[in-house]
Amino acid sequence: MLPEEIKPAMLGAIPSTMVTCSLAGVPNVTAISQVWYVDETHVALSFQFFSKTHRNVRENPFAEVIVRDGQNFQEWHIEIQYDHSEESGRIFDAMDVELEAIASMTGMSGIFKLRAADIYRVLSVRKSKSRG
Amino acid sequence: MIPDRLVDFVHGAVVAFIGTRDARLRPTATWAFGARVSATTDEISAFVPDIEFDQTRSNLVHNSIVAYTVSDPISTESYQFKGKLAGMRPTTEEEPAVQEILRGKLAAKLAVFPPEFVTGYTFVPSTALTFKVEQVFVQTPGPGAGRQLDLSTEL
Repeated sequence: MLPEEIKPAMLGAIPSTMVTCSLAGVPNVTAISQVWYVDETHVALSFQFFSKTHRNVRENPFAEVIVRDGQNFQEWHIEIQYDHSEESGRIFDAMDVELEAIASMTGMSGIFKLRAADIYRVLSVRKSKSRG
Repeated sequence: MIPDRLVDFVHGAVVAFIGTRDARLRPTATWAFGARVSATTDEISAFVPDIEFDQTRSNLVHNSIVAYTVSDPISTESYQFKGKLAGMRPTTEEEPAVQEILRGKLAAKLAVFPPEFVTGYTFVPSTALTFKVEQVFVQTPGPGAGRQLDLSTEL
């Protein structure tokens, strides 16, 4: 489902945007540092803090992320559904290394700490229409 | 009342997103490009490009809950405003000028990026989405993100 051409938008060059919704129906929009390509039907997001986003996806697993290609600035909208979390393993280790790199580039070393790689199933993906 | 420093922040060189959700609680985010804040009525009119507005419009027809996050793209200082929709209308003749000013501010702030990073967005026509602010949260990335501001004491 995720096309090959979306991969450059998942390198973390430009922060991504995530929207979640509580069970009470209140949306929450925030920037996120990592959307990791797992396979063509799954992505992983970094769980760093016990945030509103974290609470929301445990209550209501549906979310949307917008990722941006740092080369051509193409944006992609990805509808996702939370599946499970991984606190060790290949995906966790790879995300941990990348998160530290992002943190060091943004002056956030020591602030960003990966607690888990949250694995989401991809429900749909489309290019943004806003770049004419 | 929305403090002056937040009014100035929203009117500055910021990027912004509107979050809404449908009847099944599936959320959607879309760009907002430019905004006007009325501190006296605690209302924000965010200008949402029509080209990406369909799902957001549909969501707001069914429920009126709006989340609006604004971020400084360099410092990452961010705030999220939450409230209830007050109305939607096409932008006035003057409001595209507000959007052009924002584009200029962002181009200056993001001069390290190629110009098309800022110029490549289609934002005309747009819809002014006005909502009454009920809560404001710090959204700057880090462990303090999510802290609600007490607007009665914030200056």
